[in-house]
Amino acid sequence: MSLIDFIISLSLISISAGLLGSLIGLGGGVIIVPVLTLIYHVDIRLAIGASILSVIATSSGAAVTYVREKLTNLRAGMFLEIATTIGAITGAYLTTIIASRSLFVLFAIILAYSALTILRRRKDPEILLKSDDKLANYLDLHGSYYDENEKRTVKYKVQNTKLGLGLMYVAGIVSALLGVGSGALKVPAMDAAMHMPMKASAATSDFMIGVTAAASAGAYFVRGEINPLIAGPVVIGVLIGAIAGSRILNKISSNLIKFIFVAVLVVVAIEMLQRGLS
Amino acid sequence: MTRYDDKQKHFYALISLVLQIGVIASAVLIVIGLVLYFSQARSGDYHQFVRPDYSFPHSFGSIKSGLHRSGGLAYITAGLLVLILTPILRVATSILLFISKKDKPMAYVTISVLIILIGSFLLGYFVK
Repeated sequence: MSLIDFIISLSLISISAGLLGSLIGLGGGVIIVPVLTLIYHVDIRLAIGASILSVIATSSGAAVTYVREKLTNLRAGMFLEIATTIGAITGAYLTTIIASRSLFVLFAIILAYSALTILRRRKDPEILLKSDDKLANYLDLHGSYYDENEKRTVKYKVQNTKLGLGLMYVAGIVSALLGVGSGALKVPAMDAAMHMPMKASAATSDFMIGVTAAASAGAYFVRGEINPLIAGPVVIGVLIGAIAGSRILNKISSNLIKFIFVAVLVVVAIEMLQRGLS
Repeated sequence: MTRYDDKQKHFYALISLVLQIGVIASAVLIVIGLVLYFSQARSGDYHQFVRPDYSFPHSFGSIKSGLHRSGGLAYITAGLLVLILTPILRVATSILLFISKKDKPMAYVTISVLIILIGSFLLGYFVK
């Protein structure tokens, strides 16, 4: 394959990563890393470097719309970023001592976990009208947004802030280790643990994953793991996908999105596991 | 978020605008870089360009000299750096917004995030 074919095909595939990532609050990394390693046979570390940037592209591209529509809870997102950024620093330095092979296995486990999390969600956790969480009340982390699907304003209170912080720290570590946005951990931390509505959790996760990824991107850049000929086309494709995805989120059935995404996660998890164990 | 409902719209619009500017600037630089790179007639299989030992600019000095020479790779890398800096610029903007709203606790929260972010960059730069 010639270089120009590589760049054009990679950009096109990356559009789907940005689209899926922006819709569910996950970074595009879940798609980008396997595509680069399995289809294009790129070294895992360069794949992770490009994927870290795809996460920032998904986040910033989607958040332009989500923040404008106030789907993102800015206050809760910024508060939880304290934990994800510290986690990202921890993870960035763990990558230098963990071998590539165990990264594949770890990645497979994370993907399987993501799939299970999405599959098991039959019913959204209860939306709270009152909160006795002192930290959330002090910082006023509660929120509201206009739901275009239900044609009403949804008001909600945030609970279990400390548990949320702990989960976000773990999400930060995973994010830096694998070059994924770890929205798979962030979304449940917000909607299951902290009782935020699903849409607000996904939009806030999309908002946050950019900062988590930026915290470790500097280290990847200096180590020379961000090859512009790989990361450049990925970023262009992901930006197009994320901007489109953030505009159609309210217009399509979320069950269909869940189904496609779980299927993708399962297939890729199996492939990654095979590669890690062979 | 209920604290200053009247000014909320303005607040959210400004954060959204910062992200939009970062995203557009990054995309423009990357596209310029790719066009420049291919204007210098590249041929051959893509594998040689994506091998771990393929060299490309990854320090500020090499990007600066690359930009002067109109090197495609330096433009792409500059675009990627703008993308990395966008969330950081967004955090910095929110610090100013919280200070202007006299919201001390959230100002401290966002200042902490910025300090950790800068710390991670410095760590990445000096500890290789």
